[in-house]
Amino acid sequence: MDAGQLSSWYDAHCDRLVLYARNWLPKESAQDVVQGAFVRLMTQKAAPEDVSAWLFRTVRNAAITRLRRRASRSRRHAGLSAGQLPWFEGRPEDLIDARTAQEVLLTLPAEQREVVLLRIWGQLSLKQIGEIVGRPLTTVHSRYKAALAAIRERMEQSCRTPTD
Amino acid sequence: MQNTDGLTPIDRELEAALGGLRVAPATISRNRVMFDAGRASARRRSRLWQGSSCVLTVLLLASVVSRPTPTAPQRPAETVAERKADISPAALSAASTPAIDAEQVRAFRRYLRMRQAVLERGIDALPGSTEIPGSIDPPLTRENLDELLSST
Repeated sequence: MDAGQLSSWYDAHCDRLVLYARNWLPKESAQDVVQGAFVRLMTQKAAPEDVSAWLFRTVRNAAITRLRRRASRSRRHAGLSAGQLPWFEGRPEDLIDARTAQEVLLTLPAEQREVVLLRIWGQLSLKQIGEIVGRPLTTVHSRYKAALAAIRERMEQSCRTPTD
Repeated sequence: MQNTDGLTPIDRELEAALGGLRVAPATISRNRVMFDAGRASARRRSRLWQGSSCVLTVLLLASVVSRPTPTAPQRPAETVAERKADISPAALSAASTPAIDAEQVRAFRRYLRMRQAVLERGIDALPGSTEIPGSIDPPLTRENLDELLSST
């Protein structure tokens, strides 16, 4: 591995990895975890066969390890739902409001949210996701479908609810 | 995206709409990441060298510690010295001064006297089968022996 390869991987995956790590951690810690993943990638004897999946799996393991060290599950949930920095950059051409999407995602169960993050913004296949989370393909598929249904339902609710 | 089987068109629309959201950029310093990654890679290589040199050092020390003691060559002088050391002082003195049988001394003296008498008086001086009278021998010492030999 050389610096050029690392640079291209960094450009391709960094933001998405940080978003994925924010499934468990606040932004600063998520960035630390991602940075550690790239450093660890550079210390590998040979490049992983599937670099993208390797990075997401490494970030997942590191984020969960850090989460277990730092806080209990209830504190994590409180930390994610309150005071979160924006996950997405809102643009006028977006079909979905970025903040609303983030709020809806935060209401999902963590397992479903993880699959959605990996699938939509990680751009991984369901098979790759199954290998990362250690679940069968059918389980991942059902989680994904359930997550999309929940998102659609809550988005429709938020559209019907009048905003101030 | 792959493996979208089983998704309804509405799901795919939602998927596309969500995928259109731009992820907030990370604020990680790119230079910092590259520097740390390069340093970690160099550290791994240096650890390889450190590890191999440690292994070689351990092997060297083990070979020095477990080296068999060299055996000294067998030298003749040392062999003689060892043999001398094995012999007791009494045996050594006995070997240097061999024991003289008293009967042999007496016989030797008789021979010398008889020889002296024959030289002085001729064959008549030869005794019979009897011993020469007055043959109580003084103790044989080196001085007596020299005197006897010089007198012949």
